[in-house]
Amino acid sequence: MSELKVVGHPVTRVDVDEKVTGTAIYGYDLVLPDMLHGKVLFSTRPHARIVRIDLEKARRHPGVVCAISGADVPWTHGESIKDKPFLAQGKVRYIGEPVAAVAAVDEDTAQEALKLIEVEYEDLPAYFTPEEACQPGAVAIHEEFESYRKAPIIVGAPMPNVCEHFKLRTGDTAEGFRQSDLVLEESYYVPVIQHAAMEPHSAHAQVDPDTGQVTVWVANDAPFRALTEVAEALGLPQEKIRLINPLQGGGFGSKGGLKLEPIAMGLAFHTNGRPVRVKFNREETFISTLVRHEATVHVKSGVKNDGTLMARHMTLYWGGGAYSEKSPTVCIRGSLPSPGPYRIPHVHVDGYAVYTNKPVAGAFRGYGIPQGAWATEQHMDELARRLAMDPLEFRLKNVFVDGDTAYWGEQLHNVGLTETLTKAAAAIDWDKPKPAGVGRGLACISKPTRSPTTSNAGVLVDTNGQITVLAGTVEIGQGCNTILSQVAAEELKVPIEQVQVAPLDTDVIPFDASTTSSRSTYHMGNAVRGAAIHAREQLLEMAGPMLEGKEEELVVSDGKVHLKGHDEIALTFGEMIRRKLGADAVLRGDASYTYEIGKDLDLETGHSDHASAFYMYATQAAEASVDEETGRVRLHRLSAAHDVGKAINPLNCVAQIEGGVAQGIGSALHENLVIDENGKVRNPSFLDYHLVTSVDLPEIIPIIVECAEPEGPYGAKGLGEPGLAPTPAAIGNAVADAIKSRIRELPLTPERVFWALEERDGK
Amino acid sequence: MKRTEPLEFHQPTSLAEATRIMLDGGPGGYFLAGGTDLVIAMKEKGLVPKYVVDLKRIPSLSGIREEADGGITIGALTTLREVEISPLVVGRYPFLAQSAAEVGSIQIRNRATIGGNMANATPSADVAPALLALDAKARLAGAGGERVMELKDFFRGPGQTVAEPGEILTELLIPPRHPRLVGEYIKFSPRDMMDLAYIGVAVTLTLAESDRRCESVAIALGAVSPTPMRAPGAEAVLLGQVLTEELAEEAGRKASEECNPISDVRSSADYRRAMVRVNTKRALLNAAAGNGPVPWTSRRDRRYA
Amino acid sequence: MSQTIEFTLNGKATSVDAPAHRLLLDLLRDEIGVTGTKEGCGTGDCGACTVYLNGKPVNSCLVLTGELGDADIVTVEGLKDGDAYHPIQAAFIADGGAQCGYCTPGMLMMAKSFLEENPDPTDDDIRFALSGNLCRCTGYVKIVEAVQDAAAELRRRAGKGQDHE
Repeated sequence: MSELKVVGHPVTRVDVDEKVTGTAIYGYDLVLPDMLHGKVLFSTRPHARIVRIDLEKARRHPGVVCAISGADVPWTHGESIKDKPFLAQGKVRYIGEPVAAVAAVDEDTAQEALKLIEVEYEDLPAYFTPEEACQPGAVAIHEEFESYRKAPIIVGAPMPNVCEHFKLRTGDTAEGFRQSDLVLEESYYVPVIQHAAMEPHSAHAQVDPDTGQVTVWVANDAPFRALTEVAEALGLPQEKIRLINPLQGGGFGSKGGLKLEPIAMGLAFHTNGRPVRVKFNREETFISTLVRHEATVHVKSGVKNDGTLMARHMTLYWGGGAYSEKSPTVCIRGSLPSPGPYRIPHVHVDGYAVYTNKPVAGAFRGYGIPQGAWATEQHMDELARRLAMDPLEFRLKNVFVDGDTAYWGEQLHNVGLTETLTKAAAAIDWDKPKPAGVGRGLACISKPTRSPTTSNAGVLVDTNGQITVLAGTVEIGQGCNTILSQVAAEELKVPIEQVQVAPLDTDVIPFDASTTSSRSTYHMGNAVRGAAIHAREQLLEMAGPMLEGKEEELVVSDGKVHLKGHDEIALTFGEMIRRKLGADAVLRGDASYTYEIGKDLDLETGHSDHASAFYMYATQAAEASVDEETGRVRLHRLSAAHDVGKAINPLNCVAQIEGGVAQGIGSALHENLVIDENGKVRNPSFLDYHLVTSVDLPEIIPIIVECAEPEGPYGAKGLGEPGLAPTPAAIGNAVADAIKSRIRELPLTPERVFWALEERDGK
Repeated sequence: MKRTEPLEFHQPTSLAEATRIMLDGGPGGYFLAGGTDLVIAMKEKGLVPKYVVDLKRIPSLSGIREEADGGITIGALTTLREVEISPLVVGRYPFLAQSAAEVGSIQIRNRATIGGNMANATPSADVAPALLALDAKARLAGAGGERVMELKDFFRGPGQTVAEPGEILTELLIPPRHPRLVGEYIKFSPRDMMDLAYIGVAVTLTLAESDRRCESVAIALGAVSPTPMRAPGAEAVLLGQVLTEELAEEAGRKASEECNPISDVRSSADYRRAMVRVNTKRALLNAAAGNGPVPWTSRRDRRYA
Repeated sequence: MSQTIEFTLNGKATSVDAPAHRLLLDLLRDEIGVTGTKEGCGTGDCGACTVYLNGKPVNSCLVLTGELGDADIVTVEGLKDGDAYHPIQAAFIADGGAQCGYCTPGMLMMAKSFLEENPDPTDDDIRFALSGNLCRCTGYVKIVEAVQDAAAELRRRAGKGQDHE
């Protein structure tokens, strides 16, 4: 490979001018001509039959154009299980579930009309933890579960309210425990948290009364998947649906699937062609959109005195909330690697995704890895302490290295784990003595990406030499437009200023699976690279005759082609296109990239010979002390070493790590969406749901490790998600080291730590 | 913000006019100061005022001045940001400036006023304990003229004060204090900023020059009873005594017994009591150590003393 | 009942008909159509809606239109000097201070005001000043760097100005 000119360099973001001048238009900002305003009536009951719902007074309210309930939108959707209605049908399953909606000339009028809607409920038993919801005898939250349309990955269990059962069976754990010198069993808990992207949710929809064309404007992180889901739900051909993506003010998983889209569409079917905007404010976003899975994780491990891991038995209960959303795949992809990135001969995992009467849980940056890591990585330290082994040494003895066969049956390559462990530890002076009261801890993870998936891309070159990238990757703040511009600029040898990324519109842009799972740099990076190479090949084909040279003599440089050694005679891309294709012609390169995995996941054993296109490896190390009189945790510093394969943009990599770590610290010390014994969210505001502020963070030390993945573009893997995954466990281990006591439930608030200290001291 | 009826909006330029508008207007009227509580109540709690009387255009209500006797008068419409950075306040009672700085963000403090903070009577108001520990008084003006009362008597319950209809809190008066008076305010909350006080403790002490006995002691608590409160039992532990770590601990224990916290989504009552105990001790010891104004970063670290 | 309110917005005399209870944030976004100022929470807890009101940064989600007679309001749209970025904008671009960018307008307004008060801040001073502006993407690291770099640039310009005198 020749020397890279753009890739690998800390290029500044390409999308930032509009963000610093206030001209960027986010979904929340979008105003459409003649637009109506939708507002939603939410369920006030956690689990109840709707006995009666009366919309008449609302419909007659001046300024109201339509009012709808489930009966008016008799459709269901869902990624793996079609269990979610557009609006509640017959029953409600959580407080905050959309029950009815109104479209009116302005928001105040719509809000006023909501008060005129009468709903009568008949309460049913409600369940607020996954364990109680799957107890024998529990009432079904979805009586019709058997009849729902489901994806083939859905595996049932002989327990109520389980929407997915993941099984991993390797070796014989009973035998493994027999061969162990030490067997330890503990349970851990991760509470519900929320993405809390700074932009609240919104969606706009319009239905053309003549053609039936449905257009949705929404900051969705997977517009093509959403399009398919909408078409399936409505029973319309895909060409009747169009999604246009305005800019997205953060997502972190919350803005995938269908959230406000069904409500906006449902209203738009009743407005005679007028577009409808539905916006949730912060409180509505907290109670009604999406949360991260709470999880109870039971871990039993067997280990030899020399630190060799022999067996691990895990049971994970994932609290899925009222609808399945992405619970089945979170359960699979979160449970599968939950025993940790270690060589373990005997492994048994049961993961259960369970319906509860809480807000719906779904994709959240990290996709199940943080919950498993909170359990397993603390458990590793608990084992190390009993073995009197250094936690770093204990991990180094057992972690995956190149060529290992993982417990799910796949041989691993390009594993940068050891390097992340040693570098993260060194960055906080792991081997140096600690001051009194200071604790250190580390945690490591591996994370798969959604596989197999496809990305398509187009690269346009116009007669001015301007390059336009057509890619379905959504700029959610992660910097994809910059990365993809770098790739196109690199392959076409143009300055990055000459590259732009086209706005995302499913009528124009080729299919992409999703902007999720840290998959975009790898998959779309490969697709854009392929499309740029395709464009370059066409340009070289044109240049040969024009320059009277053979193909191997042609050199592409600075947006021009010339003969080797004769850069004084160079043809610009634009000139060649004009001469060959026409005055205003556009040359187009196209490419498609799919990473085909090997054998599909075996649903009985959890085995696969290639479960993921690539794996992301990371270690974080924390140094902390605790104010023992109050329980406050004080973080001193936190290092984060991430194997990214190849940093296409080191500045952006560091930014992803820092931001991920900050979220991880929030989930470790502060964040907890408190849902009371009646199923009501008690802290639906930024006053009481505590995101970290600028003063709540320690020194963050980002470390980029590059263990190249040959199949990735320039060797790149992914990086979007892992930044927050090991953070709570690293902090938990540092706190346990500082206070000589173990806390197994998040978050480590001052009060929780305080009572743990009281218990430690026998008070 | 939902509203079908128009909101009458008044901007009087004198106190008398403000009172008259409120008395003429009758029920459903609200005084508006910084708006950081009133507007949130309108948005979140469905409060629908019939009319609002904006006090911000009454010039006499703003500003901080030193009186001839050494007392300090703070106009009720003085913003918390002005209190926070006032050289007079920072120089004389740095813990009062700090208590103002603990409220919300700079943006909030540019709007929120000290009078609004008191008149809203939130149990967790950060400035209240500091003012109570300074024996501050409240001046009210209404149809019946002016009256001055102890600030602690101004509060009646959460969101309730003794102000009559049309009566306006105009000034907070800090009486002349001993030149050696020292104080400290500790806000205890999980985040370092942008939080409500889970508990707040303000103390002031005057220590005898000769033997460092406590000649005056005031301990005031926030967020642990229906109104901001003084802790007389804890004060009695120290009065006339030489402050030691043991006595500070004892005063903290007493304060934790005197308060009456609730359990809510932020904290359990038991934890609040425990934090009153610890932080009262710390506030006393920090105050006695007697330092001048400190930058916020040091303030933060003092909580870990 | 709407009333006519006159004020200055980004240096221009502006007159709008709006009810007194309309929030400044909604007035800007919905009535005037200037959407650079963002709504993150509506309760003064996130700072995304920060604008200058009479020279001071405030949460526009907590200001009633009724108060705005003769006010001077500056939003993110008023930051640029002609075609030139304000040094804070330039620093956010160079240092990667914006990711999703939704908190950025509020951050910029707060940072500008802070540097007017404290031209030579420590990192901790910056963190203190920006603590009312939540960001969910960056972990604040690059934002603090950007504000430091903007401070240096503003000091350089101020120094230059003095040299000429």
